[in-house]
Amino acid sequence: MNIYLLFPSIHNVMAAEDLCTGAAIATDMRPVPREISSDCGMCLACREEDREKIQKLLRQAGFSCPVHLYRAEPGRKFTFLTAIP
Amino acid sequence: MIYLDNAATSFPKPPEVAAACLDYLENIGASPGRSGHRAAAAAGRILYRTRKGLAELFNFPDPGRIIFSENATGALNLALFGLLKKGDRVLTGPLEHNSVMRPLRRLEGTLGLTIDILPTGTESHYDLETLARWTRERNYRLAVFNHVSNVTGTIAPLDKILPLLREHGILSVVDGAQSAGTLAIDLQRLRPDVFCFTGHKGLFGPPGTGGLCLWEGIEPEPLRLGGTGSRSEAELQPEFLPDRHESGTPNTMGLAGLGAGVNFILKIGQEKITAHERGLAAILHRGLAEISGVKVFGPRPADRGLAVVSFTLNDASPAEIGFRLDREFSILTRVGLHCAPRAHRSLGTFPTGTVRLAPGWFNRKEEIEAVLSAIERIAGRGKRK
Ligand SMILES: Cc1ncc(COP(=O)(O)O)c(C=O)c1O
Repeated sequence: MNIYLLFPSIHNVMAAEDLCTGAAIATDMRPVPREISSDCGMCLACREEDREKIQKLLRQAGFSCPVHLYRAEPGRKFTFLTAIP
Repeated sequence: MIYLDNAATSFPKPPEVAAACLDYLENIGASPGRSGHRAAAAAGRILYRTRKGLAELFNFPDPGRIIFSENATGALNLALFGLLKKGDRVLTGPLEHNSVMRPLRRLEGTLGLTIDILPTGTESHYDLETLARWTRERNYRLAVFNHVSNVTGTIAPLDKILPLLREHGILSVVDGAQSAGTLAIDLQRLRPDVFCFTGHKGLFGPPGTGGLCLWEGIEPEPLRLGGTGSRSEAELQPEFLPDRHESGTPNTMGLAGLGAGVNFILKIGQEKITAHERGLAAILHRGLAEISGVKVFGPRPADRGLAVVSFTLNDASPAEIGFRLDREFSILTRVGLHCAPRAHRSLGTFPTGTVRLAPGWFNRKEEIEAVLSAIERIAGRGKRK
């Protein structure tokens, strides 16, 4: 799983995880990578191929908080992909 | 022992509640939203599920706008201290608890609030004509109303009060300490700006749990600032909910229990619980009416009353009756002013108060019959009217 979704609150992480589980999309809750933020919180990782599905799912569920997506590249580099909404 | 003090705190709790608390202590233990390990995630899921359960029970659209606090008092303090500003005019009801009156009186001193108290009227103690006139003529910023009275079980006519407040752009705060878990609540339909609840009464949670549901766009100033596990790099309090109002390590154990209590209600069905408790209260009302010297306060369950029944017996001191019920009959009640001197003034029972009988889901009909015969014995043997 190389896509990382970052949310403001742990509550949003849990809600997103719940949505994905309900839609049978595998996710993994992980600490926010140090390279992205010095935050001590958690984020959600998913597979590249599920990215579109998850973005759609979050939009449909009316996720109003900002979600930031990153891709993990070799050598613990993270590329910012997009922010939703 | 017959426990009839469910309006103070519910007892017993469904066994799932203690099991959930124990499971947290024995198997999870971690702090939610702090650290990135699996136990912290499991703790975070407990809070998430409890919020989700509450949102389902109250039909509240966004679980993320449910803020946890230590009890209804904490929730009301956040709502009132967080929303009111210098010089505001505030309206409140005739049956308020001290967890509303004391914050208001403090703010009267510090912010120069003007506080108007709605007089008692015919509509379940609410004078709706005066309410209509005052909201039209006076410039209120906020109104705070008790949902169900902890003294009389009176259900406030919120379906009439709240639209009126909304029409005049007045912020509404509802004290749902007694209604949450004892009455079907549809917050999308009622639409109070802030709904405050406690976890340890009708919701069957452990003490030390409660919270508030903040309608979209309602943003009180936080009362407490500190660590939230989120945005740790920033020295400024986060702006997003629920973190903004939840600084400090939360009561995850208690909230696990609260979640189990809420699930218990969802499983049994709120309507069924309400009907059972009201049925018991109806037996109390009928039985007490037959005992000479007894005066019952508040509406019958058929007339907007819930399972809280207050009475006095001639000039006997409520404290003495409560003491005798406990010592001679092992019946546990609450006597006096029930932290609501304002309500007792409205009822004319200040300062001695009443004896309060508050049955719950786990009480049986036979227990209620036993309580009635005990009161009859205290009133003087065989003194049926
Ligand atoms: C009407 C009412 N409001 C507020 C409260 C305060 O609740 P808590 O003690 O859980 O803060 C209570 C109960 O004590 C109550 O009955």
